[in-house]
Amino acid sequence: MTLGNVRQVEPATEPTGNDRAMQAPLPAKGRTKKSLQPVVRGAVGVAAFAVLAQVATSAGWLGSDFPTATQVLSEMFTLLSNGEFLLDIGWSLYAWALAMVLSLVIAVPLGVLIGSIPVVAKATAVPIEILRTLPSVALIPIFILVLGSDTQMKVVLTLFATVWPILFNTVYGMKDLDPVALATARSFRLPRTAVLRRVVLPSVAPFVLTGVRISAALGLIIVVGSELVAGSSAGIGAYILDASLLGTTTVVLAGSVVTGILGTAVNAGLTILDRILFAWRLKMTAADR
Amino acid sequence: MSTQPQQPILEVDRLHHEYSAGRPAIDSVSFTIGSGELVSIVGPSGCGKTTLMKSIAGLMRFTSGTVRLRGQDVNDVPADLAMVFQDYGRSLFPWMTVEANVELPLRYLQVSKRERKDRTAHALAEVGLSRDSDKYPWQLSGGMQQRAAIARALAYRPRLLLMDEPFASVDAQTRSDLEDLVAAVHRKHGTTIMFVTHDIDEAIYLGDRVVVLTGAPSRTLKELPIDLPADRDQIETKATSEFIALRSEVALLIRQAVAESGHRRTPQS
Repeated sequence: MTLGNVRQVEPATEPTGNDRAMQAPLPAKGRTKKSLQPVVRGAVGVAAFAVLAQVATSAGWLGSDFPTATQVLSEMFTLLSNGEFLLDIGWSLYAWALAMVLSLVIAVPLGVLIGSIPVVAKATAVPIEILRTLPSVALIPIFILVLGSDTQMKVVLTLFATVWPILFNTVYGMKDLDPVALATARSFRLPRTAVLRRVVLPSVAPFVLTGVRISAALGLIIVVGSELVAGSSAGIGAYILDASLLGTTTVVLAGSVVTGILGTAVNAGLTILDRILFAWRLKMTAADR
Repeated sequence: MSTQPQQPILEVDRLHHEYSAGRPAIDSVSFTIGSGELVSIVGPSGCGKTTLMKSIAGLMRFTSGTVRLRGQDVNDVPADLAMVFQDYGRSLFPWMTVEANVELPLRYLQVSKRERKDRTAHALAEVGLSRDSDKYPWQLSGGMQQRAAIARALAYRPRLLLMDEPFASVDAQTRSDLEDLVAAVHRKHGTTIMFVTHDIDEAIYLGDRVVVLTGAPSRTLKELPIDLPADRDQIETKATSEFIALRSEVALLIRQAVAESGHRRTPQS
């Protein structure tokens, strides 16, 4: 809120009225009002699902031992006030974040290289095709042998799954580079590094973020899954594993719900980031592209 | 305004280009542009104007012939040349403000930060976008976006400004405004401009000379000096008998060119 920023409402002269009349509207201020509708619809869906879950569980459709939805929910709040569990969430998120950062560091430069040098694209096509079809969960035993069953293993395993969506989206973004934009940069003799920094990376960035969104949800599942399967000493998966060994189904389910909520939150956060960072992209598609 | 120059800025001599062997896009194009001149290049659509433009800008290797900019053979993108593309929407970078777009090429010249800011502000004022400098291109109309692209080219202070059908995708009123903007810049700064268009009126209205090309594979058909007064007006100038005579002459030439290229070539391609 800077007071010095107040603008004159109607311009003096300068470009002709015609020119100005054609001007596209600035981002709508009434947006919050409009975008409430999907929120309401979403909430209705969630409520309906909660009711269904409660009915199904209390009627015993899933077996009489199965905890009811309200029990799971209240257990979840108990868990969230439990320091030990919060620490486990921290460990899982730590491994996840490391995997995401490493994925970016590997996938973006590699994607840019593949997208700009045909020889690299040809040389990497087959190895990438083979590597990405390997199910990372199947690699858990090998990774446990080599890397143990904690953070290192979790990160490498997760990386093995999360690197692909980012890589493929980066390559896709490189294919979408606008030849006119590149010709413009060349005609002004921008140095190569400048073309990369000011033209290529900004063009590709929205694609990378799409990749990150896909990878983020996937990565969280793999982190928690690997903790469960490998018997890690810390993490949401480890907590769930302990609970299941003790037979406390409510805790197992509550832990799973927390994981789901985390994934949804991460996805929502990235969606908002996408809207803020790449508003220009939406506007361009809306306009005349 | 300008008489025949002594030392041309641009010399194009028997430029020839084939995208694939035996199928020339440009047969033989020759012309010169003198310092401070605005030369319109006009020809039927599909006559290889864009190929010609790219060859001069060093964005593309041509098959044979020479292109000299201030006596130097063009092999790579020349230093003192700027381009304004038809497709302003793709030529401006949407992730940068108008100001940042204009300023960008200057960052890589040996220019102090202060001068860079100065030049940017001047160029934006020149095209009437001072108040819109912190907007993004997509917040502007097509005409204003093309103004921003022109400002970017002006701030660069090129020896030669290439304009590739710059106003082909704006509406008629905006188009005449932008034509007058180019004319004003040319008059005020003596900027040397090569203006490629398929619009005969525009070519004559803006040009000190008009070079008429044949259809593909193009050849230089004729060069016409435009002896209209330097101060031109969209309505008055276009109503003068000189203008009308020139328009008929160029239109006739282009009609011939189309007919001729139709005879020379089998249809299609």
